[in-house]
Amino acid sequence: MATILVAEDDAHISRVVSMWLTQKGHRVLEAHNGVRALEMLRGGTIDILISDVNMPVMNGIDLVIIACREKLVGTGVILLSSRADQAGIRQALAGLKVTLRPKPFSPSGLARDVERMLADQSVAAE
Amino acid sequence: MPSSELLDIQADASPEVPATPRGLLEELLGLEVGVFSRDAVEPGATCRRLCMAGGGAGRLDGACALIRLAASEAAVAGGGVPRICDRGFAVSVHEGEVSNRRVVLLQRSGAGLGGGLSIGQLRAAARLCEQYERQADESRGLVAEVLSGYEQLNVIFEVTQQFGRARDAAEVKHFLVRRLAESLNCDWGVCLSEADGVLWWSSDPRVDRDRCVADVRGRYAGLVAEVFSQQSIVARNADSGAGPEGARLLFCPLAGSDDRTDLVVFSRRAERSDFTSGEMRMVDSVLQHGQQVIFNLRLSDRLRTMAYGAVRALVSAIEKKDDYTCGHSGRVGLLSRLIGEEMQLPPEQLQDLEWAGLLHDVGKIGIPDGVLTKPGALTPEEFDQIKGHVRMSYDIVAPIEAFASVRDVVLYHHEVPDGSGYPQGLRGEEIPLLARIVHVADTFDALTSTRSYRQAFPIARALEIMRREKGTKLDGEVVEAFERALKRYQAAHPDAFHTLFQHALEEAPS
Repeated sequence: MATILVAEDDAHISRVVSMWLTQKGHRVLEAHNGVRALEMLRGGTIDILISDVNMPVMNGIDLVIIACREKLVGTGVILLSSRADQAGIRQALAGLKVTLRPKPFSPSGLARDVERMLADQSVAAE
Repeated sequence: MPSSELLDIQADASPEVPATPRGLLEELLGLEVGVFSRDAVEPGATCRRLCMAGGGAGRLDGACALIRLAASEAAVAGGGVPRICDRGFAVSVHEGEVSNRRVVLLQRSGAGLGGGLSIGQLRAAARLCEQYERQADESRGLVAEVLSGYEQLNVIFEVTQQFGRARDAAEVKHFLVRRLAESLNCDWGVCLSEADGVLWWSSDPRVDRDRCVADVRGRYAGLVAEVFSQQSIVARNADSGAGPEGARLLFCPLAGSDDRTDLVVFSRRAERSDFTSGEMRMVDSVLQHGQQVIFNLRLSDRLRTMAYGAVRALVSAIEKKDDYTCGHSGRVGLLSRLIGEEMQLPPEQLQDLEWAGLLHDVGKIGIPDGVLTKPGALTPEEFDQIKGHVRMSYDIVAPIEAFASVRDVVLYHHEVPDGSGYPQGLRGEEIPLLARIVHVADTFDALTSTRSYRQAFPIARALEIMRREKGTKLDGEVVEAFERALKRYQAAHPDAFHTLFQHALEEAPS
């Protein structure tokens, strides 16, 4: 239903997120660092971006800030963050509309986030 | 002999797309691969019919073979004698573990079976596909385990956070039901508890709660008894007697600290799926943890009650010096709390009010008996001594860290809005809210009690007097909240109310 880009440098976590969302019926693409993710965002129509924070070359926060600024993501952005640093991250994102999901993420919660973003999108479109 | 040339083999340009056996077979052997789902294949199907049905369809001129995919060694060894159809050879169709029949059709374009494709090659191709499918299955299984673990961790984190926030066991149990039902994608969940009643959650408000609960108690009574005696989780899936309209049910025991076991039941619609053993393990783990949290909550509750009881006993001892103030502090504590509830203050402040009420006059222990119980008017010096009790109460309470937020309330409980109070003559909002509340409660109890210098006023009269003091000697908002709270308390607990205020002659507030 949605085209989702997962930006995560840990291949195993990336796999897990990918397989879970594919199971839920979405089309999932993977990128292993912020720069590659940005390339893919600029290249195609990504509905939802799910990004980790710590990645080599470009981290998740910078990625999200640029993606929002250039309006590269159609439907929503989710940041997978460490449980401890929520406040710091929120401050860094200063007012951007990003959903934070603490790690390890709750699969049911992540699926719900995606559903909610798609639902909001279709409501807004009406 | 040709000179050895080193060929420069370019690494695959698109590393993100994993090479599949299909892709490899196509490259290596020039085979076209089609995969059929269960519905397209019946037992005994021949490859000729499949060739015509699709997925490499219509290539009657190509050699083709149906390769069986086996999920286990036994199945590989067990059967599947190759049958040669008129266009190639076929192995019988097999039922896989998860997605049932998977059949791979390998077709050599443009060539007959004799034209270069050996049975050995086909067998090797078959093994390659098998391996891949087996690994993909394993991968899926491992990912499912990981996801289940993640979900479990999240639920456990959240349950533990509840310990700090929840006021009682019922809140934690309700949270467990809701959170697990959400994780399991259920339609409804319920906890049936002797102590806490029916704690229900449903994703759809239209679900008939009473019917579901009646079902559990009636139809499944025997199963429930078994769940309690075995202390283990039981699932009712499609094969084992699912519920109405095929709903999948999960029955779980939740042990209480008082040796009673609660029952937690989850229900999921038929179209979703059976409860898996992985899910049952997760539920078990989370409920165990929840039990611990509930137990700790009960423990901390018990400690608090004990502490309160001890202080109450000591305060009683102080009150014994003066026949007229027996029970006064306890009542002020209760009334202050009721006002706080009426004003919707947070739980910590309600606690503070109760303690402040209990402790507000503790300083009276420093006042000579003669002054405390003097029937006549007090001299200015005697009056100063009485006023000193607030400072003394403060000094007694101050060293106790746990009562840090209670200190000021105790010190300022005789301050009044118009600034004519003591010890500092604060005005209006300068006086902490909790102190203003205790002052109102204290005033009411004083008016409705018989003292050495006058009789008790009946409640209605006392309230009348208090209304007249709104804004001057009593905070107006607090008085109004107090009247509502008192009415509410009387309606909800008429016996307790009567017992507490029987010393106030007759009339109750209308």
